Amino acid sequence: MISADTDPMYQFKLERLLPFELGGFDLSFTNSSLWMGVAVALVAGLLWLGTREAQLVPGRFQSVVELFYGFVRNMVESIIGHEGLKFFPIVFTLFAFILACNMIGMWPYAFTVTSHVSVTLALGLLVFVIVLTVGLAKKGPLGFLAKFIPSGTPVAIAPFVFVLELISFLIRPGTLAVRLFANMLAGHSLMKVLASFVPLGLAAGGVGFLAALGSILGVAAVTALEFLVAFLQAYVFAILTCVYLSEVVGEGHH
Amino acid sequence: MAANPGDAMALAEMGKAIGAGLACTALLGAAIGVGNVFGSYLEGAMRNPSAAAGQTGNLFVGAALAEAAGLFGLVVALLLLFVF
Amino acid sequence: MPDPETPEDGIDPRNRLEALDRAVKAALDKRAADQAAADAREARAKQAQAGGAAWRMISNLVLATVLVAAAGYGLDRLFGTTPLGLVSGVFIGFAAGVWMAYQASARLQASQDPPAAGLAPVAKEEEGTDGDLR
Repeated sequence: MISADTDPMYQFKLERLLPFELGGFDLSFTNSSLWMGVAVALVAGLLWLGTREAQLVPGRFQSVVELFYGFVRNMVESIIGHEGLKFFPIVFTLFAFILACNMIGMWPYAFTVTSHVSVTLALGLLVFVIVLTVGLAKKGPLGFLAKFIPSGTPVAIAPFVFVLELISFLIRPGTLAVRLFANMLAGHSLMKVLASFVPLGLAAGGVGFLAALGSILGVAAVTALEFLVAFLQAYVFAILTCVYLSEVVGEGHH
Repeated sequence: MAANPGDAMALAEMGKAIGAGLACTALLGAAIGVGNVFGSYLEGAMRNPSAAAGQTGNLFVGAALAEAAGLFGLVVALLLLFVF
Repeated sequence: MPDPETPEDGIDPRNRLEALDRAVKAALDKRAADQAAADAREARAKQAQAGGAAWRMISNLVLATVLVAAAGYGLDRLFGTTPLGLVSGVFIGFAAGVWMAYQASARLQASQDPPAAGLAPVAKEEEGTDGDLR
């Protein structure tokens, strides 16, 4: 019964398009790499089209790009503050890349890059390393560690608070990665499971037709929800990146 | 019944899985407890809003305690699945 | 040829004041409606923000427990200290999750209270009116 058509997990299968191995590591060019490239090309193409002939009164593409730019810029400025604008490029890049990957994943037959934990964990670790580097550079090792004990903590519980803060800092890349990947994985497999009820119901006939009709409506609803989730998860990733950066950059925000 | 060692192993695996599932029902109590804590907090906060802000710490301690009691069940389940 | 009794806008001078009143009233009503709509939008946005924060708290709680327990399990496998790492991982991870939720709640409260007090000085005497978990 379960085939490539009805298996909900088939869509997440990695395929080696150009097998390549280096020093025991599998560095093949996979379908994941292909769709990552498509996402980058899409974002770069949109930005290029929008800024190619920049005018005072923006055209269609320029409006979209300006809206997008302003949205992320506002987010960065409102969370990190004015001094945070030097992190705008990384936040914008992350947001645009994740949004493009999520949205491409909504396309039939396309591969959802962000449904693999290796990709999202890499993105999460990137944020983690940036936050760590900025924090260490701004405050120095001791000052950075001191941030794990909020001011006003009683001495008696300070060690516990320190441990808890340290752990919640260390698991950040994990939470970032799992939140994004689990949302994409769950949503897409739910869609596929619902969709696979349609041919099964049609084949069964009788009441099966009703079930098929119901699943089609369900798929439509889940698809709409998935578009929201695709945007929301990219947004949450970007917002959390900003929040984490604001903790090491901001001086008087707490 | 378990006629050969392979069957006995399969039976033990099955027992572990069932036991783990049963142990997880402990979280039912934790869920009720946490719901109770937050519900009572909100009820109290609606009656006397000015006192609500000062009780956030107690709120989280209570919720954590209720949840931690349930976590013992989860730990038993994890132990059954991964350790024994 | 214009009638000297009726001005250019065609309104009887005796009714002009009433017409002006109506226009002012309509404009005021429209402004109030716009204000109410904006308030409703802001309230919805605030609610959505709080809902998002609550959802993040819960997912943080679960993820922290799972991730730290998994890390403990990995340490167990490395050092052969089964079941110490797994068990302590569950509880430490849970504690970290609760701590994160507590901090997030405090942040949410701090971010939502000052503007409310600033907009409506009357509400200042009932400071802390709003529950933490909005």
